[in-house]
Amino acid sequence: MKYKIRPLGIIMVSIFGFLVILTFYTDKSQFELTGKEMHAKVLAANYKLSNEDALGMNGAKLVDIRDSKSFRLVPREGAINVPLASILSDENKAFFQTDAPKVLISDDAVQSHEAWMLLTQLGYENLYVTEEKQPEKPKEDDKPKTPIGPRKVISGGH
Amino acid sequence: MNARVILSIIVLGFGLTAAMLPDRKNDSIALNERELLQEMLLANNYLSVDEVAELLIQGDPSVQLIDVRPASEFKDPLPRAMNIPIDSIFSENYAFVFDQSAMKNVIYGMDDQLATQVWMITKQLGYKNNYLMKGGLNAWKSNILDPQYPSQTAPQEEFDLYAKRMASRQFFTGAKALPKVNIKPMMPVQGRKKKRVAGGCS
Amino acid sequence: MGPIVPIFEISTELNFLIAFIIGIGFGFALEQAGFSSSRKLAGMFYGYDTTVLKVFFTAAIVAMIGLVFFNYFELIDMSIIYVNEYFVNSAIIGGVIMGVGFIVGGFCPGTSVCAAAIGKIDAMAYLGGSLIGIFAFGETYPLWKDIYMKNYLGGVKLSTTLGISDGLMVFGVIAMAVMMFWIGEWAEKKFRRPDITNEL
Repeated sequence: MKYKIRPLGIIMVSIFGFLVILTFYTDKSQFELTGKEMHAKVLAANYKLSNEDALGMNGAKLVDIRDSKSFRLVPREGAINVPLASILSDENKAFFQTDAPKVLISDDAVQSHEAWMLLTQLGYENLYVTEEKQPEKPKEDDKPKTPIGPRKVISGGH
Repeated sequence: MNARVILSIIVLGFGLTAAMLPDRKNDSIALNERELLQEMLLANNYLSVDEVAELLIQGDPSVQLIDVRPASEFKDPLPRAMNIPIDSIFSENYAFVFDQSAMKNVIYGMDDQLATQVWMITKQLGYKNNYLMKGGLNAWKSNILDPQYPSQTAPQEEFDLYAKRMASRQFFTGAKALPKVNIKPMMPVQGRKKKRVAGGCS
Repeated sequence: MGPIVPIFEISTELNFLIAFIIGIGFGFALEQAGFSSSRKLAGMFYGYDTTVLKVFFTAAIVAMIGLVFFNYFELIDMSIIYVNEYFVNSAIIGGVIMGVGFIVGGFCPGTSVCAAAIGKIDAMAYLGGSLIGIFAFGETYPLWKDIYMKNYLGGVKLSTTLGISDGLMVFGVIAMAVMMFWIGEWAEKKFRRPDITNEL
């Protein structure tokens, strides 16, 4: 009778081992918080800063999450460029793990809030967002870019 | 007989292990961080105010506008919008609104903050058909309800966009203005000469 | 990792095909377990043959252990598994009718199909009777609707109702099953009848 039990046992144990191996290699979620926990956190958190607060914070690092091209075209002083697309690379994760408060900035408020949500759900702390544009941004920069020549004008009564 | 004893012990052992396993909630449709980042970078998930205006003008019945401002601040919403404050998105009355596959949800707030939060939460949970209106009501007001005339040096596309926005504006605000226009010719004031239209080429 | 085949990405036709294959396997297992013999089925009531109990408990145990462990190893998502909805009145009334039909006819609905497939005439008669019953119920549905729909509890799980974890529930059922196995063995000896295998 023991013979019948042994193969059964071997099959059971090997299925078990197979499961363990299989789950080891699956692309598991690293999120620390579930959707509901994130919801509670969002309701309680107040992470939006004004520009002065962001600059006045001790040891705060400005993190510009625009893509590197637009960061090079219109650089923001004192900011580190971490493009949103590569925000989950290992070195960037290591950077977000450091203790210093980090202020996320972008041209697009949606993106900076999204990055905040993503990183907070991953369990990183000390993150803030500022929506305000760069202070004392030289306005003259914009003008030469637009061509000055004559234009078709739609307006007017004629 | 021996085999039965061994089988019983094995099965009981499995049962004991099962009883000791910690409770784990799997959510197979929830996104992991990489998938979520991909969704964030996907332009399809966002709608500009102009696109939303177009959808509304077309009268697409599958579009469902969701205003996530707190109930106390809920005023002057977009047409046909429903108010689901961010603190009650998981309440029994509203949970089904986000987790469905029939309607297109367009989430918006006053600015981007609340709407982005709601959108991210629903996206991460794996709900489908939720879209984010970029810029929120602020952008709606400045672009659709009160479009700025482009500067003379602006490219042609901006003028086209402006013309389109003016048309949208008439659609969304015209309902109030139209009756006034209609009333005038119906009751002409007698005994007063019509003023000549000044300006223009007549 | 979730279900191996996500529900949204499978067409209805393929779904039916999978159901068909599983159905063949189910019928095969029923026939192999001897469920196409009404004497074996009725033996459960008189205690001389507890195959039914053993087979059903084994199936339940395998499925339960599988689900709990698969859930733990993130191979399956328990939250999207369909739990049969519970109508209290229908369950009680239906259970009584089913039990009476079972002992009178000697089959339960599934095994009657199984036995009809291997050419048993009483099973075919039983099947015809249940089809007439289904037709009659369908035609007179408005009369029964109120009783049928009463006390609806939704898709409840025993573990949530009792307030214990799924794993503990599994252990409880397994302990009960093992106990029933031994009681069944004992009963089979006590109420032994002459071997009928050759007559079947």
